Amino acid sequence: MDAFERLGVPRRLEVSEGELRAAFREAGKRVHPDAGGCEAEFAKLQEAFLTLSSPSRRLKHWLVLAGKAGDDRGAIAPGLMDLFGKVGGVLQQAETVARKRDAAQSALARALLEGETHVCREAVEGMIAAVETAIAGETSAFPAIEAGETTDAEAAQTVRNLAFLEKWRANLRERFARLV
Amino acid sequence: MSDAILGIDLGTTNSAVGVVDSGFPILLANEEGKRITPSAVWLGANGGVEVGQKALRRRGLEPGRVVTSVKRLMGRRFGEEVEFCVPMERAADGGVAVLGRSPEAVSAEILKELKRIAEWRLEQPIGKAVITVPAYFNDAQRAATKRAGELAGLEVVRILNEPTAAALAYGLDKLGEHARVAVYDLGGGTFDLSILEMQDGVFQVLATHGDTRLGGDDFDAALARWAAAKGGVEFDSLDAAARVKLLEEAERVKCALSDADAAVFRAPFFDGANSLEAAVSREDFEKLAAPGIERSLRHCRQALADANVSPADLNAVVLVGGSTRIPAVRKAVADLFGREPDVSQHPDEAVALGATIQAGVMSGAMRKMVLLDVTPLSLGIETFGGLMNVLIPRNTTIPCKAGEMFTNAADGQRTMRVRVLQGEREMARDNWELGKFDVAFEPGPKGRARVGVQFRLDENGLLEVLARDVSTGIDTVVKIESAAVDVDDAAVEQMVSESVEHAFDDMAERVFTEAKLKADELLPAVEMVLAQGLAETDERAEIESAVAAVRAALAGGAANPLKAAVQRLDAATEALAARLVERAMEEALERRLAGD
Repeated sequence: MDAFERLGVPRRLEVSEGELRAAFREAGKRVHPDAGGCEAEFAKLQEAFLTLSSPSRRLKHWLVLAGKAGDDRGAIAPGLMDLFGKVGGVLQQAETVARKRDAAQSALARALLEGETHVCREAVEGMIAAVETAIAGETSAFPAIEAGETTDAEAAQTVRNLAFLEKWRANLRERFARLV
Repeated sequence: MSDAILGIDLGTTNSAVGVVDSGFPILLANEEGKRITPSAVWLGANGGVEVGQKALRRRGLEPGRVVTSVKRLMGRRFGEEVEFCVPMERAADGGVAVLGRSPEAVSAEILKELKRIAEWRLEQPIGKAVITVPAYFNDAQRAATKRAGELAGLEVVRILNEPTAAALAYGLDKLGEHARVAVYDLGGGTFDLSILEMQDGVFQVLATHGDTRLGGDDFDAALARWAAAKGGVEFDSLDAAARVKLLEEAERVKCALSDADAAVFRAPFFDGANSLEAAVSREDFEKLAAPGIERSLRHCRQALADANVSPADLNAVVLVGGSTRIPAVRKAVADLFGREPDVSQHPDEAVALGATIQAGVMSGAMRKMVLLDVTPLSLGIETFGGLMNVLIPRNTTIPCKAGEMFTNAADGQRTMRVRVLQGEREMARDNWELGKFDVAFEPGPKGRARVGVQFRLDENGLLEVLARDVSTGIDTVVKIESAAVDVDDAAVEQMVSESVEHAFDDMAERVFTEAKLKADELLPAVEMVLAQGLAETDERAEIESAVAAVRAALAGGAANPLKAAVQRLDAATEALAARLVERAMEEALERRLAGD
């Protein structure tokens, strides 16, 4: 399947989330079961949208379509290991606070946790920002990849890095939602 | 039979029905000219049934035979709800029954009445409907609603989420615009917050969050308890008829306080002998409503976080549901979203109108609009160590599916039991168990027999499970056993008879245990804040007296007095808790300012 084609967007690595959402809505008007489409078609549209919404999956898909799929298993770039350690620490701290908050049954007990919760939430927000900066750093290589200026191994490394970063971001967002 | 499809809002407190007439969605009024039918059902001892206002009128004489807020019981298991207007029984399938009927059978009476009104007005039989449910309803609650429709003789062509329906009503005359809106839907018994993006006739839900046990009913109960306590009456010790009278008066006072600054709670001879009278200011009521409103705001923040949008990204916050008439609710929403909420929609009619629009789209009576709705809860299965393995995350657009491959873990293993869960908690046991099924393996060595299972959520948010035999490629629909039916008939019989005999003890024990847990948490917390001198002089006396009452009730060992004492301590420390929250917010703001 060509996810770009299915969603009706040009086969480019750089595409905004707004552009993808608009394309999904537009295509949804045709293929949603209520609009006379069928469920299988709609499922494929959803899959295409999910693939392209994630930079790592988008890049991997693009590389496959371009016949340049490398081995994307393996470790993240050493430069990201430091960030990984920090993310882990913040996630753990957030988990502890979220659990205490979930267990609290009275307004007073919750209120007593509020200071700690704020501090923790700020830490999570800060970490999300750091991960997003790192994602932006990785995606800045997209033009060079598109222009064929990178090796297949380098592109595969970018896929890997992005996959890890996106996973961390999802974990951090999940934790953030529990702390609001 | 005509091909018209009804749009039905089956609400906790009120219901309504509509149809598209000459291209316009309209709600249908009954013989008394009312477009809103109270969701009340009188089930007479003689087998007679009356619905709506007629049922409510019988409440004074026969409070034990009038069922209200039955929606709270839909899809629930026995024991999940501890309080209801009439006694609850354990049904043979593990569900709840009231007056010998299932919640869906009682709901079906409301639907039959709505169907009757529609057929009378349209002068033709009608057999299809779109019925709305709270967005946060789980699979069991949705399935029960669908069954209620079928019992009423209606083919339910769609189960539609209430906030999405409200968005349809809101967006109908704005189809050309591109807008991102939040719908805040606080009804009689349930709360939902959905964030949608709409453009060119497509309504896409980005995220939804909610609570199926939060609504105007809770505000009534808090106010009734408050008034009773003020008059020195213990609410929980009153009989059903007296409680109903206080709750009805609380509802009246609540509504009055949306317009007036003060009202008088008057319940003459509420138990046949005694009377209650208490002046209630809007401020008094707002204090009682504050915890519920704050809970709703948490869901708003979570939905915003899930949709990854900030309040500034929204074009409007649309209020629907009767409880959004409360000024404190409007103010809290305005503060959170940083804008005046949109009150252009009729709080009691927008959802029914939206259901009618969707019904019109599906019957071809209106121009096409497409809803891309989401599943509110993550769907998963239990894995090793009792953990929940998410297959379809919450806020995934429906219809959708996810596959999972199961492999035999031992030589010759013939079956494997799979438990299907819905919820957001990490541990399987903390989530709602939808049911279980067995995967059948061909006999073979360990790791060789493989069966692919597909979990599918349809447009209604209802689950279907398909198993595919990898060798033949044939799909079969897997029947899911309800989680409650895990015991043989004899055991069920015994449980039923035991539960009837011990129902009262069990309930009292549970109430005591729950109240004790809360007391164990509150007492040390109160001690700490008092030691730090955080209480103001006037509240300190009440807190200390409430602490003494909790200690006495703990020693006394009776359930209801402990529950009441803990509630009193909770209330006494509420203002203090609010100050602590505010202080934490100020500190956070100072940190932010210092950091910038």
